[in-house]
Amino acid sequence: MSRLHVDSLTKSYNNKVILNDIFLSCEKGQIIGLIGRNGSGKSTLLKIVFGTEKADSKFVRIGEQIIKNVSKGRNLINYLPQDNFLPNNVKIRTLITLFLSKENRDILFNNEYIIPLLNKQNQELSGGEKRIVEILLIIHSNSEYILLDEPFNGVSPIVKDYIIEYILKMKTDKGYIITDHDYENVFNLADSILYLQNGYLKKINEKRELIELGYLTKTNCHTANKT
Amino acid sequence: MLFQKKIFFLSYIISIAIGALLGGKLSTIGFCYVFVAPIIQYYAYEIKNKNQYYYYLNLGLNNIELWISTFTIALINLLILSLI
Repeated sequence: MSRLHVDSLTKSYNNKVILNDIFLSCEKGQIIGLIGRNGSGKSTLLKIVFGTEKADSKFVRIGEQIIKNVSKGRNLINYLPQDNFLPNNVKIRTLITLFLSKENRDILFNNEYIIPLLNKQNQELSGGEKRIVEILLIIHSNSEYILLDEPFNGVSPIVKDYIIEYILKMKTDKGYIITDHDYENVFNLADSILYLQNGYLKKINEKRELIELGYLTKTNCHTANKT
Repeated sequence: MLFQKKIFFLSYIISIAIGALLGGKLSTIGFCYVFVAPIIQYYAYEIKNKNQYYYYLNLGLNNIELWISTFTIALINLLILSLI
């Protein structure tokens, strides 16, 4: 089985170590949730794994393929950045056609959220509409592993629930690593949670560990449990 | 193709305008394009819409390949215009 294996990943800025000897492993059918405070290095970690950000050292492998840059990860890893990335002045139908294989593009062409957007150009879409197009494009790409960096930015609650259900439905074929500022979203989705702090990853088994780590207050945790 | 479409038309219009000011020879327009297209790419993708690179990166292309494609098209264009 082609497992995503990240090892010895180190990154520093101005002599400050952001990511320190990170080890991470994900297999198909697994969703890993990555949480951490602002500036803890979550996005940097995903960009390094994808290949767009340089690391001081890294070893990323999927199956037998060592991923040194974006080209090596073709059809293996795709990355959803925090901000919208679709090109302007092009119809959504064209963007889907160019991005996906025929089989997968037909799924999007028949998706209830996508159908009304097909003949619009990217700049005519709201932030939430852009986001759902991007998420579905990335999920339906041929890649085996999907890195989602704050996928729920600007998305309404009903669409957020739809996306969560959609990812859970699609998870058998791919492995996912997902970050989000709303830890509840990550807890709803992920099979395992990793907390990034001071350059180190720590596995989280229970929510109360996040209080001890200073990520949540007791009030946050109780409020979330009530809802 | 989509990536180059954005650069090509704008670069060509600017190159024709500059070329016309410099005498209007086709080879001059070709030379102008070699300099204008990378500037347009830099402005459109490195400054204005940096995030749009991710559409192409997710297709497995990298920044270097995209830059090479711009220079290759510019040089082919120059060759064709010089031979006409």
